[in-house]
Amino acid sequence: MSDVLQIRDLVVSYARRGGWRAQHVRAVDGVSLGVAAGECVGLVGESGCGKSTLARAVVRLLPIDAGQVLLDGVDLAPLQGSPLRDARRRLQMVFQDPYASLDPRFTAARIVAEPLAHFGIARGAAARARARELLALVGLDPAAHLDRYPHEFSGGQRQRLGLARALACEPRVLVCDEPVSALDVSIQAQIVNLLVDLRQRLGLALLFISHDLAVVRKLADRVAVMRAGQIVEHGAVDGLFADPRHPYTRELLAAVPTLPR
Amino acid sequence: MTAPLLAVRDWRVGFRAERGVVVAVDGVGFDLPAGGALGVVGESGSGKSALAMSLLRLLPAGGVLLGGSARFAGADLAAMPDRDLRRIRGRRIAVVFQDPMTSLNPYMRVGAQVAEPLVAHLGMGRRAARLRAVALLESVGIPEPARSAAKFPHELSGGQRQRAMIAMALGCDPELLIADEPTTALDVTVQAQVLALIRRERERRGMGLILISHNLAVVAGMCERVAVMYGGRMVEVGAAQTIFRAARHPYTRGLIGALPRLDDERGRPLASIPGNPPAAGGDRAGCAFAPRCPSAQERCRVVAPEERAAEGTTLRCHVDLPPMGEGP
Repeated sequence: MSDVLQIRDLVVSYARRGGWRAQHVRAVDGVSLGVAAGECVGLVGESGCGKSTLARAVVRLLPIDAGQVLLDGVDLAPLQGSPLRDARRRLQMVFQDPYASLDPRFTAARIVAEPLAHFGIARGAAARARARELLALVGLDPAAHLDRYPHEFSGGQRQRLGLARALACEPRVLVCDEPVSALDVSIQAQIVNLLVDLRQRLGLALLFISHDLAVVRKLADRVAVMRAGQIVEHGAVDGLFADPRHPYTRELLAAVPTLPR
Repeated sequence: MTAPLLAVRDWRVGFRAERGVVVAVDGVGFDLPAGGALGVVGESGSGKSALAMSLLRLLPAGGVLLGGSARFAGADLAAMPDRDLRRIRGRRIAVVFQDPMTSLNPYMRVGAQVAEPLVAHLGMGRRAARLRAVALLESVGIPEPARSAAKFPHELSGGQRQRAMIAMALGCDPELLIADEPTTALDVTVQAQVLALIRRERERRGMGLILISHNLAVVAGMCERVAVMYGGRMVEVGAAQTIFRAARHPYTRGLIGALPRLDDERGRPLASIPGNPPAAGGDRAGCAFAPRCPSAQERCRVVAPEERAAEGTTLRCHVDLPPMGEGP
């Protein structure tokens, strides 16, 4: 099995309060999905389909109700404490909102160095040197940016910083939840190109979650289409976009506004 | 030629800041013929929303109109007394905003909100207005319109809320609809439905449309003319077909190249524009795009380009680029 990340029959549910008794809503309802080493799998769907819930459950930011999340063959679902911490070193996440996901009190250097200390990779001068490398890797200028605070960065630069933090501990898999959705078109293109480049240079596997089909097409090798907690269709990007089988996939593709040729 | 429905000249809008006034819209002018549709495209800070909101003097606190005129059917929206403007706003010119949740009153039933302008502007009786509101909700595709009219905004989905906003905007049969990112908060399938609704109603009523969007492709399907804004100015204006096939401005071309498409070559990197869009009102000499422009020359950094005509588009750029697809 060459899948570095394998999701099997994943179920994540929320308790809906109110009424006579708690009702459970299955946000992710039996999803299976694999990501091979160095591969990019796109997960598309509309709001409420469960794609962000899936992302958060995969990195164990949300409790898993049933199913498995295998990282290099080891199930993360039952892990606690240091084994979970070890696993997270190889599995990192990039969030949608670069404004909310960076600590405003930390400088760029500290934001990027924090995972290095957390995972015991480097401290002090060594961590700062590594932070320099990481900023350069994501296209920031270490000399100018190392001691700046998040509010001094633009949206695109913050997303680069979020990427640098995620890459600090050299993960094998990056889970990206709508990483370019909050960005302007010209900046979105920069980050998409950066992700393509990083993937090639670092051999990263990506689980790339987005509502934007055109962005997913640009980045992913395979796509899964999610609706109401389930995957309704998946396949290689070229095939799925050229010849969608599920009516919902067709509806999604037909709805994308296009520029005239 | 008949007079345009809306003629905007040298429009300038600013926001009060700690250090004086920051200019957000810096000398914008355009004509919109009756029944015409103009798409205004730009990134954050380009001034597109400030332009849309300022036309009806709906700027948020701190916003100031610095100059210019906007003649709507002959009368200047900038100069007329508030009393006169209130008779136009919501009746002859209607507005739809990005976020229907914050622009609908959460304490008021949807039907009553749709009925309100009918009573205020058209002098309809309450009963008649309620009935008309239900008919309007039905015409914009809200299921079970009578039941939906009795609901509060939070009980509707995002798409239905935006449909209700559109029903409210169309109630008084306006001559012009200003829509500021009307589908940005919606899912792609709902976006397609809402755009189709606006297109259909526009055609049916012969209504003018100013559509503000960050999405070139949304504008492409809705408007015959497109204006691209950058740094508070319209840097290129022309027929949609011309803009998308034969843009002359380096920024317009950059935007088109940066947009991922469903039909391009997958492996090719997107043509990203380096750097970031300027913050509104940055003090600068020359062209606002010069720091990011691949074709910038010395004079671009010194002298702001004047508007000039160039093969079907109006352009603010010193450089003459070769046709699209040939060179930069």
